[in-house]
Amino acid sequence: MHRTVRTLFTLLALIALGAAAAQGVTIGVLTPLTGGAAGTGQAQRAGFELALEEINAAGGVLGAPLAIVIEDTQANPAVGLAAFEKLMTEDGVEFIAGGFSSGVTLALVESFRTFQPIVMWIGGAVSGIGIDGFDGIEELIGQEDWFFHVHPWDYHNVEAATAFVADTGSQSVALLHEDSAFGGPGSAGAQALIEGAGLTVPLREAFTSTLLGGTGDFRAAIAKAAATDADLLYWIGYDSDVVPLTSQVRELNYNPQYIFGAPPGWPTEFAAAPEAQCVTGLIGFLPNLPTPEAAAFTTAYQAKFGAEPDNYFSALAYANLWAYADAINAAGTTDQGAVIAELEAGTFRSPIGDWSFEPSVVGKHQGFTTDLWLVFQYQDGVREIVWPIEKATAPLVSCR
Amino acid sequence: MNPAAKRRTVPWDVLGLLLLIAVALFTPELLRALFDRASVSYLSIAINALSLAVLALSWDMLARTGQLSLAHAAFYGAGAYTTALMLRHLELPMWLGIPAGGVVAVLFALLLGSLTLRLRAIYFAIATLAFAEVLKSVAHHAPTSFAGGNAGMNVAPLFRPTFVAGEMERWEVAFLRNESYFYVYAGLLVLTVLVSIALQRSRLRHAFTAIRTNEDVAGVMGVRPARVKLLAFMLSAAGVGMLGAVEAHRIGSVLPDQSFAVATTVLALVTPIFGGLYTTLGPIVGALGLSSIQELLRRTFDDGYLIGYGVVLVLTILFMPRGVVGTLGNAWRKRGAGKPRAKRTSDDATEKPGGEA
Repeated sequence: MHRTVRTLFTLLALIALGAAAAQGVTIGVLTPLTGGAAGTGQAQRAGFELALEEINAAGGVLGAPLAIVIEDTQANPAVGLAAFEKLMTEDGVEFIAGGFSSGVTLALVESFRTFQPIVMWIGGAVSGIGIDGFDGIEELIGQEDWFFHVHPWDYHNVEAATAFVADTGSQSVALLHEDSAFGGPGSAGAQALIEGAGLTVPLREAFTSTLLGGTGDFRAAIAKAAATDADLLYWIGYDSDVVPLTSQVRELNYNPQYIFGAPPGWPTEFAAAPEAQCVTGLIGFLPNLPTPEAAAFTTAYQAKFGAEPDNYFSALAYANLWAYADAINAAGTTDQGAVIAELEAGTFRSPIGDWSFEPSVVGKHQGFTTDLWLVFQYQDGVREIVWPIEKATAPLVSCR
Repeated sequence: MNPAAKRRTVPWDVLGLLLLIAVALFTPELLRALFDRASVSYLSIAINALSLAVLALSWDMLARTGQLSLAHAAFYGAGAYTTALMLRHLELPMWLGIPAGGVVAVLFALLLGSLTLRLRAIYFAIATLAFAEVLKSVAHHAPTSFAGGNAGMNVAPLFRPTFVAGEMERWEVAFLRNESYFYVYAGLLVLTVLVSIALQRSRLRHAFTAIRTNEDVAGVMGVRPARVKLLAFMLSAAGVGMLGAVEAHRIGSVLPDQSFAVATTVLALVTPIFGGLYTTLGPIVGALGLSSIQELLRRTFDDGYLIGYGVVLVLTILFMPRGVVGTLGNAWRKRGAGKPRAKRTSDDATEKPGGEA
């Protein structure tokens, strides 16, 4: 009897060990699957799932299938904190991916410092650089060995947008912006850079985004912009502002040479709307990006999900997971020091092109910078890439 | 009530409070003993549930007068910004920001209540919602050097346990931090429960019920509705202001959209409706119940768990219009209907969705 029990325990232990070995590496993902930012979170999930499928089809990580555990942050700091602590203490992960919302990221800073897993973060763009009395994410944890930031910082976004505006040949810019943490500092930075490039900014006017309780009536702000007769209308707002704002620009017969918007995402159905014609916008990835990597990603994405990737966070998530897989495989171990060394030294694949980590203003590991950004223009229902020139699929056309 | 009847009455509210304190005292260590490192995560969930309980119970205190407040996000944000501003501009102990948050929220309630509490029903609700939006807008447009403007402000944590290599594991640092926060949130809930019990045991309870039932008749009976409602509004704001301050330390920042989020007000009113209105127990049961259901669904279903959460809420409102506590209380009373009962007070005969726990 005693021997039988011992044999049984030995067998169970072996099965457990085998299961553990087969389980391999697990990456914890934090993203808002529900709530106001669910669209971005679902796009991230699609990118992670596609990358996971490809990584495991290619042999996995360290000879075993890679696994991911996705936790919903609801874009709520307190929920995000509980979700991160679950990943660290219940799921026992050593690597964290995903991320969205600077508020959630700031809530995680103390806990990141406590557990110190490797965090490769594709959200949270508020660097804090240039904001007196406020420490942003780059300033707080950018210098940590274990923190890797993939998405460009806020100043990279503004630099890219300003470079495009200057390249249009415009002389004056009317600036409309939503009045939260997203549009406020962004518009101030944009104005400084635009004026630094020798252009004039006759108007910088705030509005309340429909996402944050605004009525969706932007006519007063648009009328002020129209009165300036600026060459270019530059607006910073959210996805839900796209349709009412551009519709009201047409309704008021305001006809600047260029209309340039910088929301985090664009409604898919907007492309077919007549008011979309000639509107330009900033985006991190488009399926028609003329590179083999983009084509391969788009084809695989369409095959798996039956639709084109229309939110650039799916491309960033895909790049995020592949970078982990490549770095851990190159290290040959999950030892933190070895993986950090590989992340610092490696060049990684992505639908946008090869990328690597370099120092930023104060951060040690910054992935994409201004080079991520593309400017597209709606031309006959298609988002044509018009900037930078070397990636353009069509020339920029004037709205007049 | 005659003295003999008073002697026979079991002080369930006080016993419940003592039970709450006892459970709170042992919860962190019990979780650690049962779940080891996973206790960190469970404590975090418990803290969020306690936070919801404080918010819901505070909101219910005003609801007992029949007024529907949509201003609680404003009080929460006012508390959060008060502690952040004190940290930035005054060299005072960090802990003072918590009571100061409560005081500022009470002052805002006094200001808003003085102007709006003569409005009734939906008109009062609209005025309070507008107030929350005004404060959010003020926070957005405040000078960056003073209150951070759109970018918000950093808020230092109340607790920062130190990791000692070789003597502890990293999760133990997180446990110590969560344990400390748990006691702060539990203390805040105990304080809120004490205020609620004091209200329920005082003559104000009858005034609240009279105003809720018929404000004009209450006035004829000698109750001064405006003054009573103002007092309820101020008491209701105090706990939420302190909660906002504590939460700001825990999540490390205040941002206009985050601190004055409409979602805070929605949670404040949905939770007591689920648990049972006009009681001390109802909002607490609502907070613990909704937090548990949401967590359970989240861990069971990868997708669409909020649909299940919504279905639970809808079914509760449809089939348990008095909330969980009210419905269970009714069932309990029906069960004992055949037995001889103590004489009912006049207050018991009035409308009371959650019973009178």
